[in-house]
Amino acid sequence: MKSLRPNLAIVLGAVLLLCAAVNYLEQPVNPGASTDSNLATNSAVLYCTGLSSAKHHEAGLITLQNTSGEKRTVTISVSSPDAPIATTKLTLNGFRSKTFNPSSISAGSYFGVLVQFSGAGGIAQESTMKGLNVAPCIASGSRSWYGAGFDTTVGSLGAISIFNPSGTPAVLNIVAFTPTGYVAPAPFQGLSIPGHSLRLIDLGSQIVNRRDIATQVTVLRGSLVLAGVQESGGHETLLTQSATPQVSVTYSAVSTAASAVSVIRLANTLRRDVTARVVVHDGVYGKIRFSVPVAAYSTVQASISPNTAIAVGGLVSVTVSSKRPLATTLVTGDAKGLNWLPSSIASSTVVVTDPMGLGYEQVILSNTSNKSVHVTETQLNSGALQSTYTIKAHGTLVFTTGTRFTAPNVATVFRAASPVLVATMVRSSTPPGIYPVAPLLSR
Amino acid sequence: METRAPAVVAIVVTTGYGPGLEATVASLTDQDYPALSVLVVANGQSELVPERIAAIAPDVYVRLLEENRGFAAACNEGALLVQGSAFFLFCHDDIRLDSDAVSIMVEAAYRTNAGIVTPKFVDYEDPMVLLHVGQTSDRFGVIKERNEIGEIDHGQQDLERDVFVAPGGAMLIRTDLFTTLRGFDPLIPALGEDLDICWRAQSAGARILVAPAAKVAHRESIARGERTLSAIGVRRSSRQSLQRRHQLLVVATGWGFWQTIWILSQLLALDLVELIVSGLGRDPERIRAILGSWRWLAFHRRHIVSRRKQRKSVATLSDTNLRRLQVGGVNRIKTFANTLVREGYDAARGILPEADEEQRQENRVDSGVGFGSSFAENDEFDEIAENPNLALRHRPSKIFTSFRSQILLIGAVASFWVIGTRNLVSTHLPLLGRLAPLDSWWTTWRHFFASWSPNGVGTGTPGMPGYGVIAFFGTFVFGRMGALPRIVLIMAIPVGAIGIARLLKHKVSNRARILASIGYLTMPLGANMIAQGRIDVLVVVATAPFIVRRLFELLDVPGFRIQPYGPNVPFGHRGWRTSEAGQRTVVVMLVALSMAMAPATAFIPLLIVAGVWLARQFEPDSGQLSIQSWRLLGSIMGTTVWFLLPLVADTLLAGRRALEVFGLRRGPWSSPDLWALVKGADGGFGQSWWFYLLPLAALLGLVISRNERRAVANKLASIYALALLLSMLVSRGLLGPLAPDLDVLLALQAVLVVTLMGLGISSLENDITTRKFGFTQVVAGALVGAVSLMAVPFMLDTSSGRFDLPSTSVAESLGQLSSSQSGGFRVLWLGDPTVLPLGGWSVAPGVAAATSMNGLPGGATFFAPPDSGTSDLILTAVKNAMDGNSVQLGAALAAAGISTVVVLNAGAPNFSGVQSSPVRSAPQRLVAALGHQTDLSLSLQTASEETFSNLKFHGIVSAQQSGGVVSPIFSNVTFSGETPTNATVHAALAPAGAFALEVNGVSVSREIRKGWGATYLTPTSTNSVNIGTLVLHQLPLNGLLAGFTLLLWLVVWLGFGWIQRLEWVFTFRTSRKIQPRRAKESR
Repeated sequence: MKSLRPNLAIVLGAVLLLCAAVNYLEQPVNPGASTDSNLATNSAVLYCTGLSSAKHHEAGLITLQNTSGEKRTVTISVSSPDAPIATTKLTLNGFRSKTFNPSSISAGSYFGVLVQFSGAGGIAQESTMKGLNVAPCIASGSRSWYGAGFDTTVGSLGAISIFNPSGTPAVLNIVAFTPTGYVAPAPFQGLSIPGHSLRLIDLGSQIVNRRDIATQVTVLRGSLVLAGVQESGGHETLLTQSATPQVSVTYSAVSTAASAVSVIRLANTLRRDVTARVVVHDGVYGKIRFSVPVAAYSTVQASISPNTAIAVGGLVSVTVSSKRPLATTLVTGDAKGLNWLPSSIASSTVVVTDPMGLGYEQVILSNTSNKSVHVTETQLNSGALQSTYTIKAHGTLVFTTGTRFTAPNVATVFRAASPVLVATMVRSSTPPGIYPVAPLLSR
Repeated sequence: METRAPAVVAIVVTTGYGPGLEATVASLTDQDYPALSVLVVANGQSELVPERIAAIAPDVYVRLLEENRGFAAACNEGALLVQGSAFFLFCHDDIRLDSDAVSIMVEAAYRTNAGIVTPKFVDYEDPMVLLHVGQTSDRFGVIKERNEIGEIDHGQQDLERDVFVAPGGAMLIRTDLFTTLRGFDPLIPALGEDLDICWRAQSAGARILVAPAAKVAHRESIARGERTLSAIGVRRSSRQSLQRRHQLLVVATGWGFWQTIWILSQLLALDLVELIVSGLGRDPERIRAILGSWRWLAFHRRHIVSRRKQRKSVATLSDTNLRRLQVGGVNRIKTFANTLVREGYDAARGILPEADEEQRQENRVDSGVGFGSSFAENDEFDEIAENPNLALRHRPSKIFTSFRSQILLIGAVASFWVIGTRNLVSTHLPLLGRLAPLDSWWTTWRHFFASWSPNGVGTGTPGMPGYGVIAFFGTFVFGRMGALPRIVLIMAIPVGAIGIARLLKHKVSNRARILASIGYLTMPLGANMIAQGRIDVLVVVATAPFIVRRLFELLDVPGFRIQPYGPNVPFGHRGWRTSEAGQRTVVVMLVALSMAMAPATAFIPLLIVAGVWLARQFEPDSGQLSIQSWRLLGSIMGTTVWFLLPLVADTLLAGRRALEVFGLRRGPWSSPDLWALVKGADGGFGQSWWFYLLPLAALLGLVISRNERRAVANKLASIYALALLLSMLVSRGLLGPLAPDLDVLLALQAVLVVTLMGLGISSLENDITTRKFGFTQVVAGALVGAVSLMAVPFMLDTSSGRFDLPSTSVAESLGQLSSSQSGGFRVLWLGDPTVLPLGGWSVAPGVAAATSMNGLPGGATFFAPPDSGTSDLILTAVKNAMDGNSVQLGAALAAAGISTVVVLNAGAPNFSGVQSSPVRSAPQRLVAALGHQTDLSLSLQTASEETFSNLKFHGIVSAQQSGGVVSPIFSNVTFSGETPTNATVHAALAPAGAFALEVNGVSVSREIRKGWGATYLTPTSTNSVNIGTLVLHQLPLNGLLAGFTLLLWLVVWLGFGWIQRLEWVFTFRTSRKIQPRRAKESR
C-alpha cells in the first residue's frame, strides 16, 4: 500500500500556490472616480465656472482647443443665476482653437459653462483680464474642494463660484480657516444648489475684512464644480483647482523681484499643530530653509518676497513640506494687485499649449519624486516623437520657449512613467515673473 | 441400572456434514437423565455419520435416510422407529445441551402437565446472549420473540411460563401428544415446523412450557446462512419464501371456517400493501415470496382440506381462546416499523449490505446492557475474563454506529432544519436575488414560448428554458407559483444532502454518510444562497451531488460503478435506463435541468472530467476500463445542447456576449478572496474561522485515506483544485468576459469537500485502526474535532428561522419609481450582478444592467437572454457615462423609455441587529459618473442604493406634433389609447419591425429610428377620437423551438421504459415479456 502520492501532490500544491499568488498579486480595488481635476485631453465634457460678464466685472472668456486631428462639434451650455440656460454649438477643426464669450449667448452676470465635445481631445481654459489670468476648465465635478489664501479685506472680493451641472439638487457645507481659527458660518451650512444652476458665495458676507482665509467645501449630496474667485485691486484670479492638502508641494517659479510680493499661504485643516518646512532653491545662493508653525484649524503665510534671507533676483523654486498635509496657495504680485496660484498635483502627462497666443518665456518641468525620471516630448499635431529628457530627483527642466510651444494651434505633451510631473509656465512681464506665473494643467 | 424415570428418546436429525453433530451427541450422552436414549437420523448425504457417531458414542443408534425430505419428515421417521418412550426430544444437530437440561425439562413436563417443553436457548459461541426463551405468535402466524435481540442473560428470563411456540432446536414433546397430532407435517420440511406443531398442540388443548433452567446453546446454522436448505422441494426457495408459505399454511388450517376467511382476508390485504411497498422499494425477492406463498397455498388446497379435517378432529380450544394465547396486533407491521425507524428502509426490507449486517451483528453484542457497563465506560470491564470472545473482538468507535443513534442524529438535524426554515414557510419573501414574484403558471409557459420578451428594450430572442422548468413545476403545484421559491429555499439543501448520502452509498459507512450529509447542510454556501434569495444556485446545490455521482459512475471512478452496465437495450424499453446510454441521458437531463436555471452548471461536468483525468495521469486506477473522459464530456455536453435549444440559440446570437451566458462579471473588489473561497463563503455567513473546519476535515480525509478511498480522494482533490483555481481567476476578473457564476462553482466545491470528509471518516473507521500510532492518529483526532465543531455556527444561524433572508429588500422600498402612468416606463437597474433582482447584461466588472417595465421586476424578467441585441444601446450609454464620455445619459436612456436609474450596492438595506445583506458596491466610478449627468437627478440616496430620475423621460411610447413637446401616450398596460393625429409617434420597443401601430384599425407607416426604435406618422383624421394600438406581429419561431425542446424532453422521458409500458395505449395489446428483463436477470 503506497502512502505517498508525490507527483499528484506536487501538482495540486502548485495549483493551490497559483491560487494564492493570484489572490495576493491581484489586489482588487473599487475603481473610483478620477481624482485628477486637471485638464483632461480626452474628456468629452469640461466645466468652466467663476466667469463673469463685462457688465459685472471683467469679461471672462473660454478658449477651446481641439488637440486631435478630427473635427469636433462643441456644445456649450451656459447657466447663470439671473438668466435662463442658454445653449449653442460650434465646430472646431483638427488642431484648431476658438475663443468663446458666455456673454454672447447669456445675459447673466456670472456663468457656469458646460462644454461638451463630440469626441476626445478637447481642451478648455477660462481666462480673465484679457487673458492675463488663465485657469483650466474642470473635467468632472467633485464632492470635496479646498481653497486657500482668500482675502476679504476692503478692495478685495473673495468668493466661491459653485456650479451644479447635473440635474441633481446639491447640498454642501462651507467651513473656513482664518489666522485666528475655525469658522463655520451658519448661512454657509446646508447650502442648496439646484440642478443646472450657479451660485456665487461671497466669503466676505460672513467673514468680514479678513486676510488669508482658507475654505473647505464638503458636498453632502450631488457633485459640484467649484472655483475660487479672488479680486484684488484690478486683478481677478480664478482658482478652479482644489488646493487639496498635501505633505509636500513645489512652486517652481516664484518671483523674488525687488518690487514683487510673493507669499505662500498655508492652511492647517487638522486639529493638531503642524510645522511646515520651507526650502527656497536659489540658483545662485543655494538653498534657504526656514520653518513656519501652523496652528490647528488656522492659516499662516510664509513670505518669500520680501524676505531678507532671500536674495532679490529673478525666479526661485520653493518647496513646502510637512508631516501632515497642508493646503497651500502662492500669492504673487505687486502693489497694483495680486494673483493666486494653487498648488499643482503631480501628473504623468502635462500639456503645454498657448491657445490664446499670450506668449510665455519659460516652461518649467519639475520632478516631484525622489528618483530621476525620463520624460518624452510629443507634438500632438505632428504625432512624431521629438525628444527625450531626464530630470533628476526633485529637479527641474527649463525650456526657454520662443514660439516653440506657444505658436498658434500647437500643443505639446510631456509624458513620464509615473505621476511626478508638474509644469509651470512663466509669462513675459515687467518686472519678470510677477504677472502671472501660470501652472499648466495636465492629465 | 434400573430407573423409574420415564423414557426419553432424543431424536437428532443431521443433514450433510453438520459440524456440530459430535458436540450435540456428546452433550446428550453426558446428560444426567438416566432414561435417555439417543437416535441420530442422518437425513441424506450421510456417508460419514455412523463413523462420526461411533467415534464418540458407540451406543447411539443411527438411522440413515436415503434422501433429505426435511427435518419434519426425518423426525416422523425417527419417531416411528421408537416404541415405549414417554417423551421425544427432537434435536437439531447444531446444539449443545447443559448436562441437566433433559432432567429439568422432563421434570417441568411432569410438574405442569405440559405437552411440549422448550429450554432456554443461548448463543452457541456466546452463551451469555439469549436467543429464545419460548416464542409467541400473532394471529397471522408471525413469530415474536419474548426476549430482545442480543439480550444478555442475567437470569431475568428464568421463570417457567406458558408460551405459544416452542422454537425448534430442542423440543421435548409427549409421545401421546405427538401421536395424536400425527407428528410433524412433512409439507413443512423446515422453517415453520415448530410453529405448526405448537399451533396444533395448542388447539388440541396441550400446554407448552418454557423451562429456562434447561439451557441449550444453539448455533442456528441455517438461520445464519452457514448452511443452505437442501431438503427436496425447498432447495430453490429462499428462507423468506418458505417462512411465508408455511405461515400461510398454518393460518389457513389453524382456525375455524369463518375465522379463517376473516384472517386470510386481512392477510391478503396486508400482503397487497407489502407488495406495493416492495415494488416501490425494488425488492423483487419479497414480491416473489408474497406471490409465491399464495400460489403455493392454492397448489396444496387438497392438503389444506386434509389438515383442516385433522384439526377438527383433535381441536378442543375455541378460536377465541386460541386468540387469547397469542399476542395482539400485527407483528409484521410492528417489526417493519421498528426496523424502519431504527435501521432504515434497507434493513426493514431485509437487504442490508453485508458490511452493515456484520456491523449489526457486532452492535447486537455491543449494545448490551451488561452489569459492568453500568459502572464502567467499557462494558467489557468485568466480562473479559468470562468471555474470551469479547477480548478478541474488534471494537470500533460506538459514536453514531447504532441505527438508533443515527436516526436520532438525523432527527435532530432535521429538527434544526425545520426550526431554521420555519419563517420561510409563509412569511413575506423579499424582492431579492431571484425571488421576484413569479407570474402565473400559464403566463410562465407563455414566457417560454413567447416571440417577444421585455428584457432591455425588448427582444425577440427565444424564451429561456428556465421559464419552461418553472412553468413545468408550477403546473405540478397546481399553479401556486408562490410556493415554488419557498420549496426551493427550504428543500434544496436537504435534497443536496440526500444526494451526498447517495453519492457515498456503498463507499463508506452509514455514519460517514450521515456526517457528510450534515456537513453539506452546514456548508456556508447554502445558508448564504438562502439569505441572498438565489434559488437558481440552490437548484444547483440540490443537483450537484447527483451529477457528481452519475459522472463518477460513467467515468468508472473506483467504487462507483458497482456492476457493469447491461447490454444495450432498445430506446423506450424497460432496462434502457440502466444501460450506459440511459445513464448518460440521466446525467444529461440533470445537467440540462440545472443549466436551465444556472447555465454555469456546464462547468461542473467539465471540471469533474478534467479533475479525474488529471488524477489518472499520476495514479491510474487498477483494472480501470478504457474510459475516454474527454469524449464522454463531449458526448454529454453535445447532448445537453439539444435539451436547451432556446438557450443555445440565444447564445449563438449573442456574439461577443456569448460567454456571459455562464455569468456576469462581478466586481473583483466585492468578490470572495481565496480564503473565502476555501471556506465556501460568499456572503455574511461563513466568514469566521469555524468554517475552515470543513475544508480542514476534507484535507485530513485526503491525507489519511488509503486503498480505494485514496483513489477516490485523489480525484476529488484534483477536481477541487481545478475548481478553486477557476474560482480564483473568476473572482479576480482575470478571465475577461468568461465569468461563470462563482456560487455555482462553490456548490461543486462544497460537494467535493464533504465527500472528502466522508471518505476521511471512513478512513478513520477502516484504515487508521490498522496503523501504528503516529501522525495519522493525530490527524484523525483533528478530523474528529473538526467534524464535531462544524455544526456549532450552523445551529446558531438557525435562530432567525429564515437563515437571515432579509424581510425587506432595497427594490421593494422603491415603490414610487415613476410619476407617469401613461406611455409606460422602464427602470434601469445597475449594480453588481449578484445584487440585482433580475437578469441582465454586463456593462463593466461589477456593473450589470437590466430593465424592468412599469415598476418592479417580475416574472417576465426572471431570466435575461445572453444576447443583449438592441439593448446594447443602454449598455453602451452607461459605459460612455462611466468613462466620462457623456454627461447626457438621461437623453440616451429616455430614448429607451427609462424613467429611473437605480444603482444597487446591496440587495437589502442593512439594519443593525435586524437584518443584514452583503454589500457589493457598484464601482465608485459609476456612481460619480451618474452624479455628473446633466439630465439625471439624484432622488434618493442611501448606503444600499442611489436612485436617479431621468429629466428627459418621455415614456416608452410618446408622440410629438409638429413643433410641440414630446409627451407620453397610451396606457402603460395595453399600449393602446387615444392617438394624436398628424403626429410622430415614437415607440421604444425593439425589434421595431415586430410592432405595428394601428390607428382606428388601420396600420400607419413606420420608419426605423437609429436602427432599432420605430417612428410612426399618424395620418390626419376627421374623427374626434382616434384609438391607436401597438400590435406585435412576429412569426412564432420561438414557440416552435420551445415546443420542439419540450417534445424532446417528453420523448426522452418516455424512453426510460415508458414507451414499452404505454405500448398498449397505441396497439391495444398487452405488453410483451421482453428481452431486457431477461438481460437484467442474466446480468
